[in-house]
Amino acid sequence: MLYERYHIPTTPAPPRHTVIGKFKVIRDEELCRNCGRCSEACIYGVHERKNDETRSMAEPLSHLCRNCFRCMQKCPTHALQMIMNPEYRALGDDYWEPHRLWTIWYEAENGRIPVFGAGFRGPFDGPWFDGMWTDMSEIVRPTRDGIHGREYISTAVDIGRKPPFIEFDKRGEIVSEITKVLEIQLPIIFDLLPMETFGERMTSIVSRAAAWLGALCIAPLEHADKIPTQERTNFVPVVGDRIRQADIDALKEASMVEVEYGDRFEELLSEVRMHNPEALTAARLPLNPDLPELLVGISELKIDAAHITADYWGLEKGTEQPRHLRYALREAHQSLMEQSMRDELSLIVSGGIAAAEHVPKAIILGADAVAIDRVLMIALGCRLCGSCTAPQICPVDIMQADFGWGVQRIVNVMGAWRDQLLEVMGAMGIRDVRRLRGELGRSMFSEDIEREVFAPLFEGGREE
Amino acid sequence: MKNRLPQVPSSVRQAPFPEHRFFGRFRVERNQDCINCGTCIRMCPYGVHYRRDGWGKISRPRDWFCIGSECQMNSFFCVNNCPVNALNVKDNPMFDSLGDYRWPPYLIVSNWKQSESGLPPVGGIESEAGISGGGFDEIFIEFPEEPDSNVSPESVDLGVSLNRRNDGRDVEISVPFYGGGMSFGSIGIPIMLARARSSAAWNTFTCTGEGGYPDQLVPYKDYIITQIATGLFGVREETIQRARVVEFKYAQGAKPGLGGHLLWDKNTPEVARMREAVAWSSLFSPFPFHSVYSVEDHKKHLDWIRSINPKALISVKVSTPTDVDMVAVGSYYAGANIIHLDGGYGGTGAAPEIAKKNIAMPIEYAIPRVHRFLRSEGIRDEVVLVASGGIRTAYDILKSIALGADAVAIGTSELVSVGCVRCGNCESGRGCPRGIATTDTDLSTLIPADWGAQRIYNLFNSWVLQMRDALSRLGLRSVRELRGRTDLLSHAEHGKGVREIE
Repeated sequence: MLYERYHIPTTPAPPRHTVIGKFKVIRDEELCRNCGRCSEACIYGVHERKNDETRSMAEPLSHLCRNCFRCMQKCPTHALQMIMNPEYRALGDDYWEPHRLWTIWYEAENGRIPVFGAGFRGPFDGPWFDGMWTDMSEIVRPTRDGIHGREYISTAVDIGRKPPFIEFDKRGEIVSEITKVLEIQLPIIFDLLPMETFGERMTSIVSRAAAWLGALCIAPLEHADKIPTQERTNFVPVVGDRIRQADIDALKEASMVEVEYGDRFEELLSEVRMHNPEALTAARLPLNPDLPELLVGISELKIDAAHITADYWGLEKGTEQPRHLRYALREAHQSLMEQSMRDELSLIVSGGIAAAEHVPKAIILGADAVAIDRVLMIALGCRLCGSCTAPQICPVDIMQADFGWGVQRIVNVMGAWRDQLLEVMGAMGIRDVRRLRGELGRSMFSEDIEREVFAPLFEGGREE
Repeated sequence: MKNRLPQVPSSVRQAPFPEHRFFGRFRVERNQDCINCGTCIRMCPYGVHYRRDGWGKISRPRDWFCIGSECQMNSFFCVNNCPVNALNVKDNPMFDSLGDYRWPPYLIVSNWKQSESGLPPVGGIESEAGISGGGFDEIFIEFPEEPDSNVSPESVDLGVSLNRRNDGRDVEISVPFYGGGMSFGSIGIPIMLARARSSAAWNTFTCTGEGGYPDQLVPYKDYIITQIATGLFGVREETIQRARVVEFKYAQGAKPGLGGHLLWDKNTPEVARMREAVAWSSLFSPFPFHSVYSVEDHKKHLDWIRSINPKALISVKVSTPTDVDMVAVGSYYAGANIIHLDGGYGGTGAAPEIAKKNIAMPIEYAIPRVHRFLRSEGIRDEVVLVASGGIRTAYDILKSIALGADAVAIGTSELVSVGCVRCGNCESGRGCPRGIATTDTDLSTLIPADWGAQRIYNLFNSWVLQMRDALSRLGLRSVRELRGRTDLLSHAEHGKGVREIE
């Protein structure tokens, strides 16, 4: 077989609508003398003259502004002002912050790792994923030069049960049951289930992107008819409460099936297995405080994976004081480890995966793979304005997104994310993402390090 | 301090921006009701209001001189004195669009004021720290209520020796900081010259970065560290032989675990010639030295430099992984004189955002960790610990030293001094639109080297005054006495500092 290294082909896919810029440049018409020094000073093309009336300066093209203040400094009459764009500030919410959206748009457009000048600009640390730093190696531990494929780093993961050990008989033949695993080239799965809008166009775009990337696309079984036959092997149907006769064919083609964890779970599971004994089976269950016990329970059903769904912020569902994945996932992973059951099932985690850095962080906390949802929408230009209930007022009319363009945007984000995963792993010297799972020692948690370093130095830190 | 080298600043001289100051913290507005009576011009002692010669109308307020609404306590507050209520003072909305958590707008403006005047800024805490909510921004120096009057600020010694191995190779810097590496390519020649000249004036160092050693810098060679990084760009025998200190860059705080980045559009023909590379191609240095995979390999590297230039001190620049203390000890046994820790939030001309934010720990944790470990290994006094990565002000320098460093390396603050607004567009296109981090033929002429050198000189002068003042208030005669004195610090969350048990 010809050896082919996994590669994601990215190519620029400019946005269909003007991106909301971070800054807004305001020209005071009364003070402006139309001298044009701003347009000489600006290297980004914010200040241009009017097309039809070249004696006057046109309205500044704020979305091109990159905050250098040169025009303001050059303007002889102080006619220019810059403010943070209020539209930008209003994007998203406290978790899906404006810069996260902006970053995903950048990745979707360029398919490249966001590289910029100047040191880190954000807060010192933050809650949840932001309170974790990943490790790096130097001198005393070898590194991998993973960027641009100069040294090979694998991002492939296997979903499925793995035998804890293998037994041989006297003749050297394997007697243990060899389980089937599903190898995917990226530890990232597409999950269409939680999306507010769920148009046919969206399903077909995401499904095609998944097929192209060798990834998986999770969608309700009832949507199987929207998935072309050649993409059915990448389609992971979710069985909710019943299996319709019409969907049985699609069920038979799937390589993995998710079953919602509920009252009829075992019944539906055996029904799925009856129709398609070959497919891997996964339980889809919400992130919740009882997770460690639930996982032990379902692993007895010889299930291959558990898909744990947090809310959009990565928080537990159905509890008064929800914890973030950072705590709940770590706890679930460790409890399985303690019971020597960790390889009995794979953990797929979704909800709150909003940036490339969340992928290695979730894996360090114990996930085998993550699933993304909102990111897919944002890749297509979504501004999280929440008007999805009335698709006709969608400011970026996602429903009308061009098919090829949409696929490329999602492929671009995954290309950028994979490269960033390679960078993070290369820095740590880890050459296989499967070995990153649960590597808590390759991460620094802000509260641990704060205690460890500062407790001997400050009175207050000592009391603990 | 006199220095005979060409064009080295010798004293503080006013160095304002060549254009007008473009904005201030406050906005002064004058509405249509103004009768041009001139009361405001007579009242304001700061020169906000003025009338051009021969003009009847009062000009637009120069609000960058305004001290804001706190002025209302003064009898001369223009708003209160205007007979027709035509004036209004408010916060300038533009101020918010400048800066970030680590460099809030007032910190940038305070740097500019120091760089212009050479004097410490007025207005307490705002010129000391940022609003990042951790690290230096939560650590404060605790001054005694009754300062020790025995130490006069002028007598405080800020000198630090860069070699503590007692082998006769003395290199002393007169201030406890030197300039971190910035390559030719990431910045242009005028800025490199400005940094070299101001370093020479203060008897400290600046560093070439990994882009080679431009000839224009050779006159200042006694004040320049030659850096050898993983790309080995422009590393030649003579560049190593002329240096008093040679720095091995194993990693950089802004992109720990990744090599240097020079994107293709900044790799101009001149830069490419210096780096012996093909112009207009992206240069991504390898992350590791492919010749170093262990402490033993590392020692061979240092021995290589020693055989080429036995006089040079060797600095090892590393970032801050979980085992940074082991790395430091390994480097010591390999023969390093200086261990330079670059924390995870360090500066850069181009780095992936994911690396800046997520990889490796901030310097505030790494300093005490390494200091403690080196001490427990009994080698603390044979090695010089230099910290960098997010050190912005004189107070950050003092905090780093109190946490356990001997000296620090700085970078971004020098660039802010010559007009950087931290817009973060250094990496691509024609580079910095303000003429700093660029080798573009037009843009790199925007900042004259002499003006830049004077600005940085002024900033350092202000820092020296601030540090002398602070140390004298703490009753310390030398900055060396401050090292590891965590009992002089307090932490907003963890309370008063204590002296770590030796």
